[in-house]
Amino acid sequence: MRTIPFDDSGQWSKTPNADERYEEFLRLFSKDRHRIFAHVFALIPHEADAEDVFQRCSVVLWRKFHEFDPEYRFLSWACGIAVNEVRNFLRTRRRSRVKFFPEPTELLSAERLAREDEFSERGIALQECLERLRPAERNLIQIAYWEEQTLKEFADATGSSLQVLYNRLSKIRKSLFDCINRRLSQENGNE
Amino acid sequence: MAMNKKAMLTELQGLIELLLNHSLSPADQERLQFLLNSHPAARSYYLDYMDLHVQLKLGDKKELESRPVISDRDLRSWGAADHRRKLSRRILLSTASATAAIVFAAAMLLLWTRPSDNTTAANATQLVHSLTETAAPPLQNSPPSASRPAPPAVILEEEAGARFYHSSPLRPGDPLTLNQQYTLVEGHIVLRFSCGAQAILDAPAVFEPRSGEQLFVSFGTCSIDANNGSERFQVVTPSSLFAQRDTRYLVTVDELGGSEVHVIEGRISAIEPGITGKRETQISSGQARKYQGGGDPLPAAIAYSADRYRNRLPDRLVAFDGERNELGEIATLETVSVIRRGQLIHYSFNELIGGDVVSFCERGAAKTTNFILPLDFNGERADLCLHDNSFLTGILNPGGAVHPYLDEIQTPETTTKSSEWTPGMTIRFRKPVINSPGPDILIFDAQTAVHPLEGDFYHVRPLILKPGYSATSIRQLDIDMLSPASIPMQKFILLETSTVISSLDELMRAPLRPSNISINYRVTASSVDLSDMGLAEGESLTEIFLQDAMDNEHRIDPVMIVGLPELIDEEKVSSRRQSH
Repeated sequence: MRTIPFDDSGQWSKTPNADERYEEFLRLFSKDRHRIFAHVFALIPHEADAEDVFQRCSVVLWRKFHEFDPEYRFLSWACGIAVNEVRNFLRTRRRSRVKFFPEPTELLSAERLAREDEFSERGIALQECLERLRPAERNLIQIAYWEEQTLKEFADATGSSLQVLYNRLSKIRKSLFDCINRRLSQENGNE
Repeated sequence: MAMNKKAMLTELQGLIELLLNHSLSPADQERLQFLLNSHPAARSYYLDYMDLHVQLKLGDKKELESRPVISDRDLRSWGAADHRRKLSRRILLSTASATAAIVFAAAMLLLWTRPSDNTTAANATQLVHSLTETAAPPLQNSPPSASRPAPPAVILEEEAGARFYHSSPLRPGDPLTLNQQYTLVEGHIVLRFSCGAQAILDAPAVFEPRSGEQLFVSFGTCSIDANNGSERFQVVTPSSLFAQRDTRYLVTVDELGGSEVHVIEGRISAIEPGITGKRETQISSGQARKYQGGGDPLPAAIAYSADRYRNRLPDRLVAFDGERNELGEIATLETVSVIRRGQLIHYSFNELIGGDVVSFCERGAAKTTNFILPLDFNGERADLCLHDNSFLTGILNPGGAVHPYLDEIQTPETTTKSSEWTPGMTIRFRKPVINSPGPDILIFDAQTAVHPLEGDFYHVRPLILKPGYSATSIRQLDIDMLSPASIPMQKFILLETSTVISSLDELMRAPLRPSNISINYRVTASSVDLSDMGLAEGESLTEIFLQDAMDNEHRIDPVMIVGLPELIDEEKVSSRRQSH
């Protein structure tokens, strides 16, 4: 089994060998980080909770990276660890009925993992669909997703109805969703 | 009746939008979970929709992907805040106190946090105005209930050890197919009809849901609760039809189609197809009738008995969980969920009463595998006799007997004649286990798919049989290999002796050899009610004697035996339930 060199204080010490591992981890993690987060979010559909779990997962991935076998797909290995972190999180939180956590976790995770390549295609299609939004629609997406302030803060600041914004956002998301499906359907039909 | 897929997805989309807009009510949560449980297409749609949301959250992906990967130097200097980036407050806070590894992980988070665009609050009002002017009419935030498709006519609401003959396993929340015959060969199920009625069927039973208001039972025992306004509900048997209003009653149907009905509460009408037309009789609470069919002879009054009527499924262990690795394999116990007196109660490991192995005799056993221990175990052999939270430690394969041993148990403490020592093992709890409603003792067993899937059966009794006490045989596990609640075990080592062991002392000294494990094991579990051993409620015991039932070549492999805390009263149950 490969080992990670640690110094006397238990910190990872940067030897040339460790550098290589570090670069390798960076390369793999950077490539799949979006998919790992998306995986976590599908199981914990609450942003703050999902971020916490993803963050813990990132640390665990690095700690356990010496166990990763390069012959396997990094994403599958990482999602396995992510699901375990999700499970640990849910063990204490699921009893609360305040938030919704979909079940069964393992089944959803397995189904998502089996379709990861498809999700990459959906991501590309989304970019194309975003281009087709009307400016006003794109602006709302920008406010809802890419601004630091929340939609509620935006609604408060502008005196607008949060519900109206939610309704509009829902409609835009649905139109993007349909657009993605249409594009993928056309692409598959053209093959 | 299969739900229209398009309508289902429309409803699902509305629920997901409520979730994303933080507006999902508890009822909506249940409905969303039901759809996810019931339809593979719903899960696929959910995953696609949530992925869309995350992709949007991640922002301009192309821009992110084109950004160079953060360098080692960046990492070391990352303590300085980059105010040009708009980071969420959470990420900044979480990294401020992080270790080097966490800083690294947090830095990774930077890579998927999008820099801001130039929209400012100053033009926000104008933006909202443009949105409302150019946009189509707003969506209803909540999907209108009128547009939702009707719920399934009949669903499986709950099950306990249910097995169906030649039909797919059903899980709670699954809809049943109308006009399809189901044969329940093991366990119990609760069916909920759309009219509100509840039917509990005990195996063996053959039945056919015909609508949201009608159940056809061709064989078996069925407890009906139509006590919530489901006045149109009917039970049909080969010999009669039972209709009622606000009643609870029991129907049993024999192999020839004859049926008995015992009315627990209210009054029902029984309608028979007769030679000269339909014949209707009324049966009131406390009465029972037997119908042979054919209208002749008259239905016979029989002795009323409410004993077989169920208003809930049996008390039992329903789930457990603990520390797992990335493969989902369990190593230790952290929580158990049991139904006691009909109420679901959660206990943490620290609340459970540990049991230690204090005597062991495997005489009568064909195999000599005796110890299970973790791959990294570095304790003493004697430690494996003691209670701990690990599923990977224990003493396996005690001896047994086909029939439970009802004489005085002989151990090295009672006689020095080894030939008289009783095959089996004694468990001594660290404090008395008090007989309460439902399960009192939980026994977790290591099991593999190449052994009987229904589990290893065993006899259990108080070590000392006081008058009125007896042994009980456990021949049905609460969580067996086929149960979704069983959990795969982490890898472990098995050690076996070369000779048949007669005592714990001998086991501590015997030469051992490791055994290769190439198959996967799961933790299964059963529960023991002290009432089944003759204890009155409130009575307690400290020692039990466990014997394999010797019903096949496989012996029980107990990896943890614990007692449950006393269940004091209903108020405490309620308070504990609410706290979880």
